[in-house]
Amino acid sequence: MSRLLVIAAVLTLAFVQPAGAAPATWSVAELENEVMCTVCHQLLSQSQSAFADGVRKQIQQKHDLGWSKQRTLDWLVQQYGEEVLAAPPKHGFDLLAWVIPGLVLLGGAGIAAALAVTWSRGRRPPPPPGVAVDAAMDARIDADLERDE
Amino acid sequence: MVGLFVKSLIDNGTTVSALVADGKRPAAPAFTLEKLDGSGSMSLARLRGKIVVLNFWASWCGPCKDEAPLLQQISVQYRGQGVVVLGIDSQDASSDGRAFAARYKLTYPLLHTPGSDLSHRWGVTGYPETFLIDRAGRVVRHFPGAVSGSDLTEALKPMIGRAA
Repeated sequence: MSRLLVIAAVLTLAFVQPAGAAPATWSVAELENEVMCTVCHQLLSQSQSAFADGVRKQIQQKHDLGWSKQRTLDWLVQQYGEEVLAAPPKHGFDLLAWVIPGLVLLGGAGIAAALAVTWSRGRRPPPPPGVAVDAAMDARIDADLERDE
Repeated sequence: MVGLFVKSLIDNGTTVSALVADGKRPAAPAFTLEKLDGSGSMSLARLRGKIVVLNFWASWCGPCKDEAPLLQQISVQYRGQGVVVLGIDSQDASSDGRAFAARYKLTYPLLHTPGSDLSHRWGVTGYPETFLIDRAGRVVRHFPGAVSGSDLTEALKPMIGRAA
């Protein structure tokens, strides 16, 4: 009888979530691609360092507790600073990391368009046939012709 | 992250460890950090007049585990001679740091810093690293990696006999 009670207790503990904890809608593997190992400067998913092992355990704990992804990320930033985020946050100085590539692309496209317009307008018409002869040369040629005749 | 990268470029060559390696004795950069046990904050300036053994560590760092008993012993042994061991738990979850402190029965002051900004300013490139700060607040020695008992006591003894 007591053995049955022990088995029932174990099964209950294994399958019942902690009070108030809803299953997380994100995966640990997903977050491992959004978090950096701040010691070895690799994605957590690619790092085998002791630091990464510790962070992985913490993420797993938060996941099992039913924390949201954002709450877990906020906690990681509180513990390790913003450098723990693989993507820079979209505020403050780090916003430049998001804005600058777009500005560079736009600037490059603008420069290319301006150059194309300049080149297409800069094409000159072909020179007229023949060579312009001034009046003095014309007279000299006539004189030469008359002398040859 | 971008900010930290730019800052690291600017700071390159002016970190505390780089200056000490050049034979200089720079003033210890001021900081105020939360205590690891959550009981408020503490500033380095509060320890002016003491010899400070400043140790950067993290709970996940293997050599830090070997070094912790030595630092605890030094803190007790030299407490009466004006030496304070100050541990900074860096790049670590504070809960893990507290568990580490309990496991190794550390009684010297322990602070916690999120991120690696302070470590970069001091030129810490790995854990553990230890700095010696004299009574005037100048950094006089740097021990990268786990410090040995003989190296630490050898460096401390002349400082203990010296006035600020």
